Amino acid sequence: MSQHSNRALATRVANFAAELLPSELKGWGLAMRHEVDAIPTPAKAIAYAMGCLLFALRHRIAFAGKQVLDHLVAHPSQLVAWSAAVATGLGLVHLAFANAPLHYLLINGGALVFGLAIAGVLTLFARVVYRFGGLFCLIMSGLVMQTSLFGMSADGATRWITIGGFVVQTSFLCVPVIAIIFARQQTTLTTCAIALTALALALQPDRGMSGALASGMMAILLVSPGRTTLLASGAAGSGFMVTMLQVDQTQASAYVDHIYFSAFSSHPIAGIAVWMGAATLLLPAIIGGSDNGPSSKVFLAFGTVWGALMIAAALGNYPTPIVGFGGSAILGYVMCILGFWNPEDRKIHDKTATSDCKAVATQPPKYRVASA
Amino acid sequence: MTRNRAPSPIARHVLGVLAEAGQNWSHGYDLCQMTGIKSGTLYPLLIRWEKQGFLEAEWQEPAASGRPPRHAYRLTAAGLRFAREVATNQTNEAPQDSKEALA
Repeated sequence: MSQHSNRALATRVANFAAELLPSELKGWGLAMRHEVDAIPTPAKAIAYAMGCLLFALRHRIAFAGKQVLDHLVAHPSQLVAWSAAVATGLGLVHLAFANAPLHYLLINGGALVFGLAIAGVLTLFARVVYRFGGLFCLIMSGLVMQTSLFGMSADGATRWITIGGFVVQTSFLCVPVIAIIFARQQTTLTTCAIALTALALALQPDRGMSGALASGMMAILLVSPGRTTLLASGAAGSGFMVTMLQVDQTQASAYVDHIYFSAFSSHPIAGIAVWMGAATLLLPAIIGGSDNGPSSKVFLAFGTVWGALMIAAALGNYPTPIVGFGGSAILGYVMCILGFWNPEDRKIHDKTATSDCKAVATQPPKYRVASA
Repeated sequence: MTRNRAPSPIARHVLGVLAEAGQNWSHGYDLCQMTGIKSGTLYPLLIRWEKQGFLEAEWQEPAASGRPPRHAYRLTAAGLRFAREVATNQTNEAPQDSKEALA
């Protein structure tokens, strides 16, 4: 390559680096470009420009990543939807590599699509769900109770109902949503819903789900101690104790239980997909929990409940959420979107975004030009 | 608010070179040559120190005509104090680090 084309390449690289930098660093981008022009040896100018480009790329990626994170924290519903989609996808990878029957994959994939569609439709009425959160929780706890009393039984446990030919574990659909709505709204109605759900889970009995509810309530009690949180924790804790006193005879099912340990023996990729999917499920709680915003309690309840369900799946014969076979957990996870919707979060985010834009627009120029 | 963290050996080295230059202005390329670090490592340091008020920058007219102006840097009074503080801590706390920084 000739000296001239080397010089032109260095200039092009430096120009690109400068363009990548955000507006507040444009002055520095110009400084890099001019410095490259001042380097006498073209080969050294290219090396210098490449260094600048690497810095600009790193900065750009970090900046874009932070923007995405900020957006997702401000819109937790999208964060949960994305986590559900990625975790379900990884679950499908697991099922495929573990040679699960094809209809297992179709059921899990269909549950995600159906869940997102239902959550999308319900989000249109999210303001109503938010306003009547207590009543909504009570209806859901009623559904769990109805399952306990009149649902399908297997191995001494009554946890399922049939909807349109599909067997659904209603507690997966209802318990996480009830817990996260309670995290936001601690009222008499939501407390009653927790107590009714705890009783229903004790009747089923379901140690895993009952333990998850109790863990969620304990976490909320720790961050906001009060009469309602104490009552809810007491009810959920008592329900869990009752389930522990009963005999649990449920048998493990292939592709559903004990997947965290068995997936690797099916195929290494299946094992990796399961663990990556499990980590993805907790991402909303990790990302949102690090933010001290108005939804931090909701993120805490969400993370604790789903974390406890995962621990239960690792310890006993309880379904592995999302990454194992079973559409109920996928639907339940996606339904959590409803619990995250809060008009106040939106107002706060919109205000912050507007003031940030104004701050950037009014920044004074930083650099002065010295006289010759 | 910008966080004041303990500078890395590379940062201490660049800081030392800038402190040695005192009131004289240095250019990015010269700093890279003197310290042996890449431009991609240098600019984040300069940007951070400028934000912290340890560094001042100015555009200088080129020596030869037809060339663009160059950005030049030197430590502010606060920057010189910071450099001295870092050098003192380095001598007292970690003699091995200073060898690394000067290597």
